[in-house]
Amino acid sequence: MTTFIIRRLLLAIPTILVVITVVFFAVRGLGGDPAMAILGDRATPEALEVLRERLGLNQPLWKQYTSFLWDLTRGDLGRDLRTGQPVSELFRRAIPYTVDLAIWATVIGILIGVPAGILAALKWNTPLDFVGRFLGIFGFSFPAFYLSIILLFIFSLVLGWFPMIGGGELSNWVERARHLFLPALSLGLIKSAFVMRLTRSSMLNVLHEDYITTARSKGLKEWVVIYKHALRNSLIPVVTMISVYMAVTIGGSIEVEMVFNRPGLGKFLIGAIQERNYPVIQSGLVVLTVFIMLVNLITDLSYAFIDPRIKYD
Amino acid sequence: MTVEDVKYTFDRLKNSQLGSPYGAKFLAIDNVKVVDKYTVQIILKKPNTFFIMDQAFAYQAGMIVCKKQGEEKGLKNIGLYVIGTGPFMVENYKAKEKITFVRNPNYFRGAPTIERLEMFFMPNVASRTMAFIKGDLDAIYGERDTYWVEDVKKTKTVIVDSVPLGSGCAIHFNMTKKPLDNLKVRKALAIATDRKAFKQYFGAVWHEMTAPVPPSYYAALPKEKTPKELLYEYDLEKAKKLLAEAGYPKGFKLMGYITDKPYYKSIMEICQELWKPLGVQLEIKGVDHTTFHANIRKDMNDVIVYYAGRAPVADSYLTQWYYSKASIGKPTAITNFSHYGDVDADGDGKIDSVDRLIEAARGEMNREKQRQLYYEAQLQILKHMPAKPLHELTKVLVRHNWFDPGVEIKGSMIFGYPLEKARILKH
Repeated sequence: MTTFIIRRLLLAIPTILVVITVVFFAVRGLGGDPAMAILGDRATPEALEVLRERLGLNQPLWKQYTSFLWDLTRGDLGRDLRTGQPVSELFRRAIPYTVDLAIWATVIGILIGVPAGILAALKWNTPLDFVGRFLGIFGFSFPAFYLSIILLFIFSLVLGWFPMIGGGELSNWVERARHLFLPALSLGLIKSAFVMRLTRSSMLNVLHEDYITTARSKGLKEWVVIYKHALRNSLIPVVTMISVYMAVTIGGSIEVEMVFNRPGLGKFLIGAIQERNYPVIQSGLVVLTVFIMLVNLITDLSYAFIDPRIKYD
Repeated sequence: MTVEDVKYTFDRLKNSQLGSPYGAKFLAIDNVKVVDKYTVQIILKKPNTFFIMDQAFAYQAGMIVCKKQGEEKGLKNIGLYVIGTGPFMVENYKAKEKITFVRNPNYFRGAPTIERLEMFFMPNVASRTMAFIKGDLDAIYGERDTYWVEDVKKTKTVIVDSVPLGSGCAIHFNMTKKPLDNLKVRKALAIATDRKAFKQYFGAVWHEMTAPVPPSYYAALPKEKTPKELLYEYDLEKAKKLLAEAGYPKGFKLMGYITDKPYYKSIMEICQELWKPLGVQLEIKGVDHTTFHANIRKDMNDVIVYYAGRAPVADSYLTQWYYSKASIGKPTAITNFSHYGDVDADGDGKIDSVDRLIEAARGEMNREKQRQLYYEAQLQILKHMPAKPLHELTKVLVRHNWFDPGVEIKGSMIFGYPLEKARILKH
């Protein structure tokens, strides 16, 4: 297991390098000018040139690239072009808000999606199954930001149950939870639609297997057949896709953070893209890539727990 | 704050290597002299009656910085570590979330009533509006959208302040690109652009602009002093006739990049529709705001929609949009997208310019003569039609009735409510 983990971490390095390179050149291909974004529309060409010089933006691309790589190896994520603040300092505060959201959206997605998928599979081809499938397609197609606005309207504005602005102080767990609930629910409901469809599909495949028929004919209770035999064997593809879908969850968290005004990584990235704040964009995307890779690693390790036949060396 | 801080500030701003976006304004300064502890003399290279309003103080430049801070620690990232003399002090800044201020008990005009205030950065309109309606926010910057204003007004406690200083809007014709170098073509497009269409779209926040300078600005050419033919009122048949005379009876193609901001994009879309009967096909390329600003400064557009609020004097508008040195592509470029002052605008073989009129007006001490010079410049610009003035959109500020700004809001140069005398009433 340890060897497997070390091998995976080492393999992550070239992946991250590719991401860094693609992101570095892609953001510079966006068009627009960070110096103008900072100085505003009245800036003269001379003032823009002075700022570009100061920020190193008029250096050759290869020099900017190697400089960025070198800084990354030392853990330096660069400085916000606009304020000069270290990006690492900005992210230290922002990342917990995004991680909270991604994790709890996934938990909600699983808590709703898995039981719903099991039920739909067990009631296959009945009205309940059709309703479930419809809700699955509907939920899967529904934009997260729009659902966020609806939840905000109902539960914050009309009912006043939840706050509207911000993410709460990180050290205050109650406030943190209150600010997290609606955004996590918004993303989680959409994720549950996806999980439900996958669980249903996977369960249906397993429920028709011979060993399920054998288990029933041995007189085992139905809940034992479903949860101990069928569900466990159907979980691997579900777990795989939840992990793959994490990237989509991260993307959704960006738009949800904007609606709920959560000071997470997503909100920083949106602002940074508008401002052409290269260090924030580059470092932000690298951080997100590392996060997704860690999730994938945890997913792979969980297979050994789900299926004892799987061993890592 | 003493004169040493003032001298330090302006000496610093004069330095073109500083890279201040407003640095060009301060090149007008010849010398800054300390007279006594509380008196400073700023000597200009030429007379400029607008120096105080536009160039010196507090609108987009000229905030006094602390000399001691600058010399001891440098002024890098001053925005985060600002030392000032205003009514509020920065307590906390959380990037992308909020900034918290506390009152300055030593404020020279008396400590403000409000002890503490938070300003949230909320770019999403829907959530900002809901938070305001709920009462989590006492005041917000509103949307220049008549439907939004009507919706918000439904909440009983809401007061909408729609005030100048507004942003003037014009559609500029790039006269370096054919066929916009032809005066008849530009006049045809101007006459086919019906201001009423924009009035219908923007509703209550819309104010007609018939001169190159927005109507709420000092020395803007009044409508009643503008000859009828220079108002370019809508007349489709006349526009078609002019276009045919210019040699384009079937129209032509134009292209323009435009930002995704709704009050910009709508202008282009309305013009696109209004010009269709002329056979003019306007291709609109939507990009994000940063790319829009970069592209129009690379002279990529045939037509350019631009909004701007500036110091409310004719000089600021005319200098930035119609002065030859401000032409795009020059080292001194600002926002002269039409290149007026650098091209032959009327086809007589000579370069047309209002530079002399602007410079003469700037230095004219007699108020009435100054106005006349600015009027003359604006009339000339209208004759040559480098840009059709469309409208001025006033600022939309909204507050609950328990937020009392403490002053009557007749106009504001800042993008928000003045807070020095503001207070929160019991509610």
